[in-house]
Parts: sequence; C-alpha cells; structure tokens
Amino acid sequence: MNKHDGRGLPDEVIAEIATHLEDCYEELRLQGLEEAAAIERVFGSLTNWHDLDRSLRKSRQPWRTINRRTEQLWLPALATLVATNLLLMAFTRASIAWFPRTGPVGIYAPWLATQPLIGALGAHLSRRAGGLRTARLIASLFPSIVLLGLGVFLVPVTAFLERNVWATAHPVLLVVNGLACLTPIGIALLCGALPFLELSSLDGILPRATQP
Amino acid sequence: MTKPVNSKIARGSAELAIIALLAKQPLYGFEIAKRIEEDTGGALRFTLASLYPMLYELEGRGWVKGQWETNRAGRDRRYYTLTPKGRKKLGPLRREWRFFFQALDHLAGVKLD
Repeated sequence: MNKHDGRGLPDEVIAEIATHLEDCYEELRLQGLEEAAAIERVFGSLTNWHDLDRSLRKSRQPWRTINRRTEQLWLPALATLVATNLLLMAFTRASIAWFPRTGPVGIYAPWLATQPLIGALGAHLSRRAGGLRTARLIASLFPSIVLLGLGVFLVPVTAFLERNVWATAHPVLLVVNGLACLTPIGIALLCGALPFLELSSLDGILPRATQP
Repeated sequence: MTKPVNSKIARGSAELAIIALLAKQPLYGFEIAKRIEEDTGGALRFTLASLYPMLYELEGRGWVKGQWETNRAGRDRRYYTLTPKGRKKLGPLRREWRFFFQALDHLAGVKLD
C-alpha cells in the first residue's frame, strides 16, 4: 500500500478534509455544474495527494513549534557559545606555545577582536532561519549572557562556599570587575550582530511567515 | 478577473489572512478559504493543500483552536477560533506586513493610488 494514502493521519484530519471536499462539491453544484463535472473538478484540484499527505503530517507534528524556536534561537546561540569557547581555547594554546611572555593579554586581546565575528555568526544564523530581531540579538549575545549568568549565580555562591573573604568584603568591586570584563565582550558581539539586526528587507518577514 | 498572487508572498500572508479573519468570527476551513478568496477579490486563494497544513500549524502554535461543531445545516464542521495567544500575534504581524509593504513601496513604488 502506498505510504501516502492517508493512513496514519488522525481520523479527524481525514474527516475534515472529506467535509471540505464535500463543501467544494456542493458549492460547484450550486454554481450549476453537473454532478460528474463537479466531482471531476473537486478531485482534479487535488493534483498531488503525496504533497497533501506529507504537508498534513508535517503540520501535525507537535514538535514543529519547538523546532522553529530551536532553529531561530537555540542553535545559533549554541553555535556562538561553542565558537567563542573554541576560539578562546585556541588562543590560549597558541599564546602558551608561541607567545608565553604576553600573559593573559596575549590571549584575551586577540580573542576579543574575534568576538564581532561570533556576534555576526549568531545573528546571521538566526536571520537565515527566519528569526526576528530579538532572536538574532539573543543568539549573537549568548556567550556574554552565559557569562553574566555564571557571574550572577556561580561567583557569589562559590565565594560564599569557599568563604572568600575578599569577595564577601568587596561585593561592589566584584560586580564592577565582572561588568568590566563582560561589557567589552558584549559590545564586541553586538558590533558584529548589528548589520544583521536590520529588518529593512524581506529578512525576518517573509521567511518566517512562509515556513511550511 | 483578478490574477491570484502566486508566490511566497501569498503563502507568507496566509497566517495574517487567517488570523485576521478569525479575529472577527469562528469559521471552518471551507468558509475560511471562501471568505479569503472573496474578500481579496481572488488575489489570495487557498487550496486544500495550503489551507489545512497552515491551520494545523497555527493550531500547533496555539494561535487558533479547532473544535467540531454542528453548523446551521446540521452538519459537523471543525470551527476554528482565535485564541488569546493568536490575538496577541495579530498586532505584530500586521505591523510586520505594513513595514514590509512600506519598504517595498519605498523601493519599487507599489503603493495604491
């Protein structure tokens, strides 16, 4: 049996399609078409049962809405997070191997310089998937959002658990230091994302609305 | 005779067309297709293969809700109503399309006289 014969579709879908065809038939009859001609017209309009069957199945999958968000937000966000960490790792190794005297500056300065590319990557991937401005922005800034999350939750908890006297005595300084580290990263990521945030073309309008 | 819009634009506008229509009253599939075709002078036409997948997708997103009811002729039809979530999307979608047509007008001068 053909796999596109409608089997496996919920009964209510089949019933709904059947009522639609019935309505079409009656409409044509009201317009004065003969019975045979009306039937032929109704079924003739369905040129491709395979496509109908496939698109009906696809549209009934409950995970499609999750996938849409995953495509537009989580995958680009994950890509930026992975890419930024891989670059940090690469610069750390390169700095230790080839420029050991430069210290942290030799690692973070070139890494920071690459962050606009990461931001651009996130926003581009999100835009390509039909993401709107907010999704593009979050996807591009995701590494700094994760760092902020770590800073907000992990650093105070760790300081408390380890009874770090300096941290508990200077919470404001800790926050200022954290922001001083995060802000340049965020700005660099944002700089890269900016060209992809504009909604002045079909981006973000048609692709999003036309997803099957 | 009005030439139907046969492109991604027509498909893309489907979401807005459907939820704008359902914002006025609950309708079943055939009625939705018929009303859209009539109200747009035939410019937007839904086929079976384009209408129901779109309706199910909107239902999956929680924008519309389908429910079997008996119509005035005593027949069971699946009526679609706009949910509060769908109603919230109507404004932003309208703005997006307005923005899109303004951009197109700016670029290509397609504004209606």
